[in-house]
Parts: sequence; C-alpha cells; structure tokens
Amino acid sequence: MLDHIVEEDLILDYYGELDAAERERVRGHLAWCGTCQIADKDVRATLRLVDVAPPPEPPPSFEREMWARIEPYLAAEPRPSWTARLNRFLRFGTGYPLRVAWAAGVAAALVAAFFIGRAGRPDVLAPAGTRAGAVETAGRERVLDAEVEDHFERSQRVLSDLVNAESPGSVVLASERARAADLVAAGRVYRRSADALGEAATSELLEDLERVLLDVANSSPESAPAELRDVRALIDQQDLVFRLRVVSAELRRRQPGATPAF
Amino acid sequence: MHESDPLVVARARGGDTEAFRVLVERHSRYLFAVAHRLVGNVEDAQDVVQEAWLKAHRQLAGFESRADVRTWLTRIAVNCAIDHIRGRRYRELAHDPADLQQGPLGERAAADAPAADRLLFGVEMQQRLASALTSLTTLERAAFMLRHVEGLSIDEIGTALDLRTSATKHCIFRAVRKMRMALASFAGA
Repeated sequence: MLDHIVEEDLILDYYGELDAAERERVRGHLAWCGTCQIADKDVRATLRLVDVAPPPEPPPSFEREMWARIEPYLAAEPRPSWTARLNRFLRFGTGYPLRVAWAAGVAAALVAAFFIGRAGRPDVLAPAGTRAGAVETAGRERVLDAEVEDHFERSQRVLSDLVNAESPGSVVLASERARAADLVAAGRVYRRSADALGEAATSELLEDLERVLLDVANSSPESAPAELRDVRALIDQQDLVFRLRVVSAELRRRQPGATPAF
Repeated sequence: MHESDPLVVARARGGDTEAFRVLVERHSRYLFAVAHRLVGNVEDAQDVVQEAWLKAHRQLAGFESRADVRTWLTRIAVNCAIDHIRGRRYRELAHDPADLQQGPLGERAAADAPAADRLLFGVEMQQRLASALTSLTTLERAAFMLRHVEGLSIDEIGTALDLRTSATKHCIFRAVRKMRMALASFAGA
C-alpha cells in the first residue's frame, strides 16, 4: 500500500473516533510504515504536551453561591413554562388572538372532516387512489395549503425583519416578540393538521420555523444582542428564508386557478 | 432518592424553582470546568456559568425531553463562553474587533498555570503553548478543549456547538495542526 495515513485519521485514531474498519486499516498500516509511525508519534507527543493543568476547583460552597447569584433574577422575572403560557394563551376568552383561533378552527375542521368522513361514510368514502377519495383529500389539502402559505408569508416577513434590521438587538426582538408568539401558536396547529394529512415536508418546515420563532418569543431584553445573533445564525444555517420562499411558491402553485410562474 | 435529570427538568419547566435549584447544584461544577477551559480564568468562568443558568432557565421550554441534559447545558455554557470571549475582546480592544474568532485564552492560560507546570514544561514551552492556544479561533479552541480535555465525542461536540460532524472534525484538525506547528521542537524531545 503506497498511500500514507493522513494526519486527520491519526488524530481521529488518537481520540478513538474511528470506526472498527477504519481503525483496523490505520493500525494495519502503522504496523509496517515507518513514515506514518513517525507522524503518529509526533501527533501523540504533541497532544500529550497540550494536556493543560486541570481547572481550579471551585470552593465547596460554589453551588450555593451560584444559586444565590441567579435566584434573584429568576424571582424578579418569573417565567412559567411554555406549556403553561401556551395553555393560558390558547384559553378562550381574554385576549385570545384571532389568528390562533382562526388557525385552530381551520385545523379542527380539516382534521374532523378527515376522520368523520372516514368513520361516518365507510361505504361512500372511496378507497385511496380512487377519484372520489382523491377529490376529498385534495379539498382538505387546498384549504391547508392556503392557510399555511399565508402563515409562511407572515413568518417570512418576521424573519426578514430579524435578519435585516439594523437597530439594536433589544429593539428588534422587542418588536418581533409578540408576532413570533402568535406565529408559534398558529404554526403548531397547522403542523398537527399537516401531520394528520401526511404533509411531511410542510410539517418539517413548520417545525424548523417554530424553533426560531420560539427563541424570538422567549428572548429577554438582558441578552438581546447575543440572542439576536443566535437567531440570525439559526435562520442562516437552516436556510429558512429561502425554504419558506420555495415552499410558499409551491403552495401557491397548487392553488386552484394558479397561473404558471413562467 | 436520586431523581433523573429529565424528570427534574420536566418539573422545572412546570415552574418548580426547587427543581431548577437541583439542576444548578448538580451541574454547576461541571459547567465551571467547561467555562474555565474556554475563558481561562475563574472570575469570567463564574460569570459564564451564571449567564448559562439564566439562559437555560429561559430556554427550559425548548429543551427536548429526549436530549441529554448535560449536553444541552454544555451547549448553552459554551455559547455563553463564546459570547463572553467576543465581548471581552470588544471591551479590551486588544485585537482587531473585526476578528471575532480569537480570544486571549493563551495569555490567561499562561498566567493561571500553576508553578509545577511551569517547572515541568519550562518557560519557553509554556510561552509556545500559550502562543499556540492564542492562535486558535474560538470555535477551534472550544471544539478542541471539549474533545481533548472534557472527553466529549465529536458528535456531542457538534451538538454542543451546533456544528455538523464534518465541521466539528475540521475545527479539531485545524487546532491540532496549529499545535503541532507551534510545539514541533518540543514534541520530539
């Protein structure tokens, strides 16, 4: 074998990160190749030299002191769990956002139609793949498509504002927090509907979107610059704005009467 | 009875402050060690741990019950440490602010290193090590320290730093390459 072992594999071998086959290949080569033996010895010697001193041990009271440092902040800013807030948020009556109510209504109707249709009319409901079955499913999907497309459009505007705003992080997040919370709640309802209708791709995008919106909704003024940076990084890593554009365009295309884009 | 981390987190998510205190008591020491590796001194490490707990408290709702609590906390602490290093760089204006990647860990590490180590490695070796550490970017240093010192797997580090596996590996490879170059004359001794 003429090829020598690359440095990367020597490092992975040192840290035990090679799988069995790779480890066998590397070790087998090292058994006879003097050049690679020297390189391997050098990598190992360097990494042993790098072993830095252990960090200083904090005092025995460290945990108590840490709690004393953080407790006032927790007490000053009580934050119920998201579930509790969502439950309160979704409770009918005071301050119930119309958008979520609408989303929930649409979703409930879709899911109910799906299951009632199946349970109530077993003899009428056409088997999957027949024309009648396809028409029913297509109808439900069209309603969901229209709703989700609108949801994506609004989400896209929020994300674009977050990415492009030049104001300080605290100002940007403060202005988007409420919109993000509304979108999270509505998005969850749509995601359940998408799951029920087997729209895996839509559901996945809604889930990715929810993570970002949740960070915005839960952001705090104290650490706004860092949180805005995290949010922007997440949007960028997941290519969310672009994905929203693509999926929105696809949903528009599926609407009845849509004109081709070209 | 020892309650598992996921159960404690579940209680904390429901607003149980005492449950959150259990997490603080259970993991603060570990987080301090992680933070110290990255920021290089006790005071900053304590600040990072404090910030990490406050952030964890705010993000309890986002914790996925299938995830490992310590890995989740490590990710938060590492991110806080990275923010801290970046902020410190801006405050100190000791380096080019446009370069967000480097931090003064090397200088701090040399200053904090115990006398026994200095004797063992020698002043020149320490200086070279400090210089090598300084040459690492924040992500390289974080990935390398988490692998080399904390013993996290590459997958765990990727989760902690929100990097893909290949990116995590490259951070470690670059860190080791820089170390090899800086310590070449010592490694063979």
